[in-house]
Amino acid sequence: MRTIEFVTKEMSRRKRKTIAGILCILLGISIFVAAQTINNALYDKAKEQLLRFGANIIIQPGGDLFDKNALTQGTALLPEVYGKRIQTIEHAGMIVAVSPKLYERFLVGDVSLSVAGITEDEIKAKPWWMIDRKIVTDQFPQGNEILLGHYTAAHLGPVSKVNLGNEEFRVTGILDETGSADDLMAFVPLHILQGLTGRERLVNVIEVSTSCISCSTMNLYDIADEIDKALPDDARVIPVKQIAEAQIGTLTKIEDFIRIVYIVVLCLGGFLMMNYMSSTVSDRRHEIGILLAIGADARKLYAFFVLKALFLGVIGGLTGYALGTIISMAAGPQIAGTSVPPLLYLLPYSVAISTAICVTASILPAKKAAQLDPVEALQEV
Amino acid sequence: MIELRSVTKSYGRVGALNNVSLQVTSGDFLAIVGPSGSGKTTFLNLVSGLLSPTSGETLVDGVSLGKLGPRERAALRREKFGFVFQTFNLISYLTAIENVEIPLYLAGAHPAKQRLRAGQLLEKVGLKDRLFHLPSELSLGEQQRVAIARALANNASALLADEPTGNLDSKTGKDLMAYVKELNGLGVTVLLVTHDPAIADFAKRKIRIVDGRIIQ
Repeated sequence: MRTIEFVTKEMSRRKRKTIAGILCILLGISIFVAAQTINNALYDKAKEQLLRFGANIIIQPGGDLFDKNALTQGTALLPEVYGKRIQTIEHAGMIVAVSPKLYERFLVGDVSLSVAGITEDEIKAKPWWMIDRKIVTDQFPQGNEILLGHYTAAHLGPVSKVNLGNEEFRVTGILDETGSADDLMAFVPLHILQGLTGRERLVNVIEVSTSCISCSTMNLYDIADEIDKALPDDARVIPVKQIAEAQIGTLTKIEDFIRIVYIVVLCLGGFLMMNYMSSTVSDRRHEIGILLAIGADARKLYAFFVLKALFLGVIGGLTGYALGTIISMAAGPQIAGTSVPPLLYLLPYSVAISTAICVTASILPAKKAAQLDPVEALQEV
Repeated sequence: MIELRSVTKSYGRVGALNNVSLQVTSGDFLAIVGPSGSGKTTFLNLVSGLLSPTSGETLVDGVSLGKLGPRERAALRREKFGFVFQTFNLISYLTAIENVEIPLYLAGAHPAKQRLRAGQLLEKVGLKDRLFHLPSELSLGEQQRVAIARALANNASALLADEPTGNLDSKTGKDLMAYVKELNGLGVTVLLVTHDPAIADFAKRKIRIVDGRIIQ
């Protein structure tokens, strides 16, 4: 016999007691895993939803901040190539979309139509753009094609072609209502509008969408700083503080709440495990007395209890992970409103946390066992 | 050799053993008789080092137990003594052979060696067919024989038996004592606590303890 066999035999032949021990820690670990998994799904969903606030860094032409006409009438311009320079910054991986835009007004019949020249990055920055509730793909305008905003289309009436200046544009689709200024506009390829207006390789504004959800406000400003350094002085880089702070604030609150919940539950698990191990020592007083009488020393008894706690921890960690994942996948869609994929990286964490709790909780009861008076214990039947 | 020098053991104001001096030589078979509560079990517990005397000294092979730490006393119990209790005190979730392996395991013997030795001992006590039975699947007599095999596992030089036949019927008790006597014939010192005169008759000599004193 080895110590490990002694412990596993005790656990396997006293199944009910063993299951009770596993349940003590399984509860905490499964809630930890479920909370983390659902949190992760909420996080991804929040990330997707918060992106809908639009760009969180805007690059405008420099110059007089108070020259309203220059900005609103589209006379202030930036080189389009700045958009490419933005993609070269150190944290370019956090950039979801760089959308350069050029604006112009055209008279279509008696309607003064605001037209924006855009690139395909506009779709990445605006994942909520839909045509008949489907994501815009083939309808994105190419060459002499035009995409109409919801109210623009309503104003123009049923048309299949629109003339901008002397050029004729085929209507590729009508955007579903967005609730933004986009509803009142029309969109053509950037390079076509540049050619049409004689403003080759120039834009009015470049909008940058970042995925800086998990980072702090400072990180968003860091990215803005990096962009600022990558561009010449004639460009003004403006991080949109409100969006960043809203993103961070919402997610931090969710995370803090979930963290408090599982810390409380894990503490409870540790408390239950300590009680379980203490009751195990009480139940096994007579057996401990026998072992002490026939020559076991305190070290051996420590080894029995700590090894048992280790096994309970590993089994509790594995089963807690499995149960937590099942709970999160079953309840997640109700809570997060989205599918909840399992997080495999939580498995080693679950086992490590569970084992640490069980071993820590077993130290005092093991000490109690080692200090038992064998004569007293042997008298108990 | 086991020696008690003016040993007194009391629990608070209650005296369990009073100024007892005694020598037990190797190969002796001593029966300690007396009524319940007279101090017989306390005597055995003092000899094994499970209890420390309030005053006086207990020596085993010339070593004073009072000078040993808990770990050294545990090692002494492992190496020199074998215990047989009235209630057998087998570990309920271990099979007969695993119960006999425990002292060998505690002494650090290799698992294969433990298994071999435990099997041989159980064969000697007539339990060759019961090796893998749990205590609950054995008769009381069989359980006590497992306890004896366990007591002998580490080649104990002394067997400390506390009412070993107390839970057995008369015939099984006598069979068991015949086996204990056989062991004594092989050189094992036996200290037997009993209140049954018929069982005490198996011993080479007897002492009677009454109210914590040896009176004969």
